[in-house]
Formats: sequence, structure tokens, C-alpha cells
Amino acid sequence: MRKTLGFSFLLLAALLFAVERIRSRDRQIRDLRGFCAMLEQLYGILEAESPPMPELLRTLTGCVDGAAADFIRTLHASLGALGERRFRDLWRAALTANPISRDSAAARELEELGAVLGRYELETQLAALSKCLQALRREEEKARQELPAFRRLTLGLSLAAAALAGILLM
Amino acid sequence: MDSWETVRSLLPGAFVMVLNRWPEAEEIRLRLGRPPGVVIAGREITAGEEIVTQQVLLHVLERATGASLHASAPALRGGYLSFRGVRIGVCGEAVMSGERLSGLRSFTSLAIRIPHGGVPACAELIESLLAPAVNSVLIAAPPGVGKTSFLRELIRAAASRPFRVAVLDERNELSATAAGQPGFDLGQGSDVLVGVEKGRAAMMALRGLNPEIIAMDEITKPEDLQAVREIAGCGVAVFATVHGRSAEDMRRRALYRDLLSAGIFDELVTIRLRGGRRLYEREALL
Repeated sequence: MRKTLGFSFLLLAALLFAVERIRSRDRQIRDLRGFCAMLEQLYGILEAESPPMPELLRTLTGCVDGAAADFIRTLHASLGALGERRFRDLWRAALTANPISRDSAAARELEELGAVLGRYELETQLAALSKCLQALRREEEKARQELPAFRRLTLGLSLAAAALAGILLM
Repeated sequence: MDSWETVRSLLPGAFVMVLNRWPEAEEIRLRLGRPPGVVIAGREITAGEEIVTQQVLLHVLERATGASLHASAPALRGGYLSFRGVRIGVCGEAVMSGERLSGLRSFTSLAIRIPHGGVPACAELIESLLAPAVNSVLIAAPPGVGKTSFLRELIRAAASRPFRVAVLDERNELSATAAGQPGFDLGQGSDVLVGVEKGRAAMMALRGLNPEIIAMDEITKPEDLQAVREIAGCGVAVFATVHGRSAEDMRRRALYRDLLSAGIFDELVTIRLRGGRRLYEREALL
């Protein structure tokens, strides 16, 4: 009875671990999608109206949600420090506070975007936005395609590890 | 924040330290690949050995535009930006949209002009322009000699009497308004319209502000001359500035010939530099 109970707990822990990993990957894909939507909005507003940065960010906060909205809110709130700090540093700090996928090409591209926005003429900014958007879309697409396999693998490995641990302990 | 403080806030730390040695500077010149220059009494001298890089120019522009260079494209097409009353002349590569100049990029140099808070040497002249009756005054000088500073003093003196003075501050250099707060005191009786093109601003002021005087900086195009005509036609005195050395010099250009022959201005004040000092001359036009 005790062995069966112990084995069940092991399986349950493995299952919870797998579910959490899968949910985390889901969240990451959702965030990537949110950032893509935010960049699309940013591109559209810049191209159509070219408003000053505070107005641009204020408009964006009402158009996006999730992690991208938190990022924009953080950035907007930090604009008061512009002058003492460069815009790219404020952008980077807001990204650090609201990260998407760490150490990915898209994350690096997104970080680099802060060095171009507001600093160069419109065409250069739009080109950088476009490049960053493509990188984020690629990453989101890749993560989405890999998700079913990731689910199976995570679940399978977790349960197999739990089973193996159970057998060894018994 | 005074003008020098404003300029300091635009510059990277290393340049601030160098330029602190020249508090009398009237202008700072930043040219790509060269050390900065400062203009004192009309003459430029090299200040320090720190080389101006593209990042330095971008740093200044980012601060001047509030990280919104894209929103400053219309000003850049005119060749300069205004930041809290400080004019920044910009050089770079043209960005064309078809046949139209849409902006500048790959910046090569910046000319940061430091406005002077007061012109105490000409207080008497200013008094005489306002008494016994207020006159329409045209102020002429070459670039960088102090037309705007003189106009600002004239406005302040008139608005402190107090006349009602509507200030058409198209480039935000006269008032240096930021977040609704003027950076320069233009006197009790001044009402400032910032960023509105002169012709439209003149109509707004005439309809809504009941001014006794309308002041504007730099008449440069026929539309500005038309605005001056409209104002004068309504019996309102005009204070304005133009680029020129003298009435004779101005008559060589069609726009200013028209301006002088329109019989609008009572007085012409010319400013010139001699031996590092500004000389003010007054001439009756009517």
C-alpha cells in the first residue's frame, strides 16, 4: 500500500512538473505573439502618424495586452529618465523587467531595436522594426510548431523518469 | 533651467567638461571626426581634443527630440531643431521621398546656438522704441548676432508696461515653452502661441487675443510677409526680425524690398558685431 502511494506521488510530481513546463512554453509563445502584435501596431502608428515617443507609447498601451503591454507600460513610465539615460538603456531595462525568451535571436533583435527607435530617421526605424518583427515571428512559428513534440517529450520523459525512480526505490 | 544649462543637458559628459571652460560661448559646433568648436564674439575656436563621433551627434539629437527624431522630420527639413529655446542647426545626408526632401540622416554636424538671457547694453534703445507710443519695429542682423535675444527683450519690456503682446513663436525659440511652462520670461502681458505657422497664428491672435502688439521671429517667406500685412492692416503694432545687415542690404532682396516698401515698420534696428561687441543702430523707416 505504502509503495503504491509513494509511486503515485512520484507520478503526480512528474506530471505536475511536465504540465508546468508545457504551460511555461505556452506562455512564451503567447508572449511572442503579443510582442509581434505590439511591433505591428508600433510600425503602423509610426508609419502613419510619426508621433513623439511618449504619445506613441501611450497609444500603444491601449492597443496591446499581456507581457507586451507590461513592457510598454514599464518603458512609458521610465521615459521621465530620458536625458539622464539613453532611450536604448530604458528599452533594455523594460525588456529585462518583462523578458520574452532569453538568449534567443529574437530577444537579441528586440533588444537591439531600442538602439534604433527614436534615434534615426523614420525609414531606418521602420526597417529595424520590420527586421525585428520577422525574427519574432520566426521564433513564434518555430515554438508553435515544436509545441506538440515538446508536450509529448516533456510528458513522456517526466513520467518515464518517475517510473524509473519508482522501480529503483522499490 | 538657463540656456547654458539646457545646452549642457544635451551633451555627453566628456563634452560638457570641455565646454564648461567656455561659459561665454555663443555657439557650439560639433563636426563629425573633429574636435568641438565654440563661437565667441563671432569667432570660432577649437575646444579640447575630444573627437565628435556619430554616436555623439545621435546622443544630442536623441535628447533634443526626446527620442523622437521621426517626429522632428518637418523641422529637420527646415535645417534645424529647437529644444527649449536652443536652436540646433543640423547637417547630414538628405532623405528624399520622390522629389521631396523628407528628412536628414547620417548626420555630419550640429550647430548649437546658445541664446542669451538679456541684452542690458540696449535697455535705453528698447525704452525709446516703446515711448511715447509703441512703434512697429523690424530687427535686422546676420545669423547668430542676437536678433532673437533683442526681440525677446523688446517683448518683455513691452509686455511689462503692460501692453498686450501676442507672441507668434513658430519655432519655440522666443519662449522656449516646455509642458506649458515658458523657459524665458516674456512679461506680464504676453500671450504665446507655440508651434503654429505664422500666417495662421496671426489670424488666431487677431481674432482671439485682442493684442496691441504682435511679435514674431524671422520673416523668411512671402506667407510671413502676408501675415505681417494682415496684422498691420488691423492697426496692431508688429515686432519682427529678418536676416540682413542694413536697410540697403535688405532692399537687394525682393521679399524684404516688399516688406520695407509696405510702410508697416516705423523703426529698423540693426545689430552687428564689432571687436567682439554688439552694436545696435536705430533708423526711422517712416
